[in-house]
Amino acid sequence: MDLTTSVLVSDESEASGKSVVAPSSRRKVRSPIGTRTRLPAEAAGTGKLPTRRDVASRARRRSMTHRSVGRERGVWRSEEVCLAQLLLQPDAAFACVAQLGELGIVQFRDLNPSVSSFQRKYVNEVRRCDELERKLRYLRREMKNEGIELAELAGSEEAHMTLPDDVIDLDVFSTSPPRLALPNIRITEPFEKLEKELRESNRNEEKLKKNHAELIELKHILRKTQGLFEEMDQRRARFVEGRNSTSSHPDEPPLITTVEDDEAIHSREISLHILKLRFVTGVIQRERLPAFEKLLWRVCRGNAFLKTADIDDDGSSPNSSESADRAVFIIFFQGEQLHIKIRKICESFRAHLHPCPETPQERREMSIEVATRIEDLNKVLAQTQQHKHRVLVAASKNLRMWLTKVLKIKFIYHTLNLFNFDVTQRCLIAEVWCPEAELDLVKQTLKRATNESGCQVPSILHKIETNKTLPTFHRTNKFTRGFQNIVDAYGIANYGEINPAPYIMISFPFLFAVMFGDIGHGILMLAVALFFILKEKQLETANINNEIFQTFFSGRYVILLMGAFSIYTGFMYNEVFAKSIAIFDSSWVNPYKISSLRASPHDQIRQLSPEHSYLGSPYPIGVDPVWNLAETNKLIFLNSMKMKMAVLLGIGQMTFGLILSFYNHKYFKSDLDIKFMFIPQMLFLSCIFIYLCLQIIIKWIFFSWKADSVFGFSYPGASCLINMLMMKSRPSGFVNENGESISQCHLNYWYPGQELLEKILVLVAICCIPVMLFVKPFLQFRRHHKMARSIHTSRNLTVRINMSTDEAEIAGTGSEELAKVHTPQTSHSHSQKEFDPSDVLVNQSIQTIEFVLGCISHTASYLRLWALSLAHAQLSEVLWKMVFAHAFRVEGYMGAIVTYVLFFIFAFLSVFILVIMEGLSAFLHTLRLHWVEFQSKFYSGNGSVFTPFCLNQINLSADLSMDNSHLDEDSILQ
Amino acid sequence: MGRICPLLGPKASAFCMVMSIWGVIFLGLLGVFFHIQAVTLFPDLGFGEGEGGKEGGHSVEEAEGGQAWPSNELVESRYSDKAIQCWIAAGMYGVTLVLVFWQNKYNTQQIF
Repeated sequence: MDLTTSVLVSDESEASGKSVVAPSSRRKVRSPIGTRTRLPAEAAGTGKLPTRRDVASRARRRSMTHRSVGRERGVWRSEEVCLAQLLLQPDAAFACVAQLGELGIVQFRDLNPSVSSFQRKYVNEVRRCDELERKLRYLRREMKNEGIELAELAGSEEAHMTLPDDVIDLDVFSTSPPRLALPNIRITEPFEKLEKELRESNRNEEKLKKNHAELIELKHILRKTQGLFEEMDQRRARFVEGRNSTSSHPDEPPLITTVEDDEAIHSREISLHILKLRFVTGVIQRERLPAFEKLLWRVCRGNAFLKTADIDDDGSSPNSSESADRAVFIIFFQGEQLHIKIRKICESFRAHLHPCPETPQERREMSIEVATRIEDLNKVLAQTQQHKHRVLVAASKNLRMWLTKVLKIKFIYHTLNLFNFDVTQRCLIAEVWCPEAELDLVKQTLKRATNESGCQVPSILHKIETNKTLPTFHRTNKFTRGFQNIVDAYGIANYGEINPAPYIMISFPFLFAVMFGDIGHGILMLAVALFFILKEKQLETANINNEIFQTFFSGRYVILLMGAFSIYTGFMYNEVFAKSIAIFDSSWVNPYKISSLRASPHDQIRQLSPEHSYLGSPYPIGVDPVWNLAETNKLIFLNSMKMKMAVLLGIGQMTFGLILSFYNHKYFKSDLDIKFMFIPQMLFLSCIFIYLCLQIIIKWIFFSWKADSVFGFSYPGASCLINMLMMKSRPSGFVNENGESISQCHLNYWYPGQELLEKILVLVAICCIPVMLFVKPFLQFRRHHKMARSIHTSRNLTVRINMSTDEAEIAGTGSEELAKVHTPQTSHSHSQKEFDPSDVLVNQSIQTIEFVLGCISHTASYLRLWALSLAHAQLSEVLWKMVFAHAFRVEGYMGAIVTYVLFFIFAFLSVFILVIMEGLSAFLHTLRLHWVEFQSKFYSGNGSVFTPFCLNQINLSADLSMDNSHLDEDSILQ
Repeated sequence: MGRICPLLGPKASAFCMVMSIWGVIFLGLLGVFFHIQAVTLFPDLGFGEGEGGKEGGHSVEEAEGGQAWPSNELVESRYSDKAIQCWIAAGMYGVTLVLVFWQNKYNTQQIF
């Protein structure tokens, strides 16, 4: 059975191989210039396969065109991914995986998750790689100590091409797992040797250094003790002299001579001449000295004589910090017993004892000898260090490459560990997730890798059906990545679910800008983003490891759009640093005569009533600049406008989200959800909220300051600003029979039939709630019952069991009605799980309540658009008035200087408070609006990410952190 | 030739450079707007400071001899004063820019 499938599949792969060639040839026809340039290269390699580099680059180019052409699904929904089985020959496995890793478009599944990582097949190889890595890290540490910088990789191309060369360099190592000739690593030899050499030289150096230190100590001892000895000798000489003098001059007896005195002299003589004093010399740390002295005194009961001298560092010792606080000591004592005791004490105090010759002659000789030896050692040490430095500099050129290679190899073995062996142990079985669009490319790569590794049996890739949840794969480029990250931070889309990212690309910067509307601040933001984008390459290579900077840098395209949109909304709000610009003439004029104004007190506030000062046509675009000068009712006007805009935008976005949910249901072919979730939800939303929006818009369009008759009611004009109410009985119209406006006329019905219509709308909305709540669970329950019965009744069933994954699946053979029953599985896999009605009911009620309450609370939540934009406008106005405007109160040259200083403060505060702080807060609110208010309408976000096996990522991590690569490895291998 | 007055490091000079470029542009434009007597800048001229407690109010009263409403000439002259004031400040930022460039020349680490 195995054989037939493989033959079949290989045929298929041949065929698809041909079909793969086709687009490339088509491409060549289309671009004759490209062909001409490439043709000689191909002709040169006549009869041979095109070089690997060539093929790889071509493949990459083709995949790019793939990406740009027909992947319309890739933008709106996750790309189609399939599960494929790979059958690899052991000889070719390494090469294949390496090539696939370079390609970076497949994700390997772990086929033996139950096996612990120590029991896997290629543990030894992984360990060996670990060992190599450790060695490399050792080298790196040495280099760091020497202060050698690592050479950069010679371009990304170089790093990219390293791996296949390794594969060729690899040795055949036959002791690895069952009858598998597995490649082992030979490239590592140079640095293995190097590491060994380095270790040896380090050991030698250490030894030499130790020697050196000892010699230096000895030198110090000799020098210091000389003084001590000389003192002793002098004393002795004086004593002897004195004794001689007493004996030679008997006529001059000492003033007092007693028998005891005589005896004392005698005994001293004995002690000096007969009982020879012994001594021990050594070096001890200075801070231990007092304790040492005390202990010595106690233990020897005062019978030992300690003399010390501090070592004054003359800079000759290499590690001066150590010898700086040391002292030379010499202990005189008598007898073997004491000697042993003193030695023990010395040891316990970690004092270094050095032998010291007794006679001055010997001492002198020794000191000369020591001096010469120190000199020699210095020379040797210098040479060793120089050699080491040379070796390290040479190694530093390759270290990064080596590390990358080793990491790659290790990564490949980790991947091989995920594979299964087939029953005959003759080939490796792998399962991969792979985007359908890239299957051909993968097949081609496999073929090439197999050819190159010289393996006769082709590697085989074939698609297999699966009912596992597929991983979600969104192709991104540097522009879309920022937005995709915003979505993914909330949750990865389910497979096939609508990807909100394309919509967010517009709505996110727009909603941000609604809260951040100011041309000046928008320009600042845009400038920063442009700076990031134009200097992209430089900033990337500069490799700044500042987290805050990285956050801003990776979101540069988001910032760009946010800046651009802020300029737009700022233009609409007519605000530049809290000032407005009048591109067109304001449509309001001053109706007052200057003379009449002059007659009145100048602080009187006057209104411009629309009857006299409004020109009749509104300002062409945005807010009329006159509002900027209206001190008392500017806020009243702007608040009402911004609040209504916020409601309109919010309900618009929620409705859009709901419509997206329809496309989701449609895609998953769940009629149930469309009929009993989407439709009632939509009805509920439109009956209350969309109606509200319509009211706002109609009011804007039809009601002006003029008295008019609108919708059959006569409207008295600006004195009666209508409000909107629902579910409250009230009179209709605005004026009574006499033409006077009714009290509270703004609350009244303003079009005929409003009462009835509103009643109907409310009723419909209320009716929608039980539909949402109960119908879907009930139908699900009924369907489940039906299915259970049909499975019972039908006899012709087979059970498909997957041995490797211990999964069993019931499949009907040829029974249509069963297949029909199985179709909804794609959307609800409840047939496999236990159907629990109460569970479903609770779930549904949660969803319904969330939706119904959500509609209200989310609408209110969108009011943050208004609140934040108000806060932003107010804050920038305060900044202008409180800080910058003071500059214009000062006259003359002083005024210029004040302007100079105040502008600096103004600009600084503008950037840090208004742009950065306010920007961040607006960003967070926008984030929330999208995550909660928008995405909750249609997005479940329970998918798993498609993480392709990509060797180039290692490159990066190796570059980034050589020192804590422990962490990286773990993160890579996870 | 070493750095004569090594005041600014690479980051500080980059910051000052940005600020002074912005200052030149912003104050220059603001001067232009004062020059063309933009209405939106009228509150900044210091007229109508309410109860006359502020500096601007004083000057108005002095000029107008206690009359509350400034004459057109006064408004115009105030506008042009402020325009010149802004331009002078802009020029000072221009000088700052040159100084910062001069400082930055001695920085080994290039920011831009």
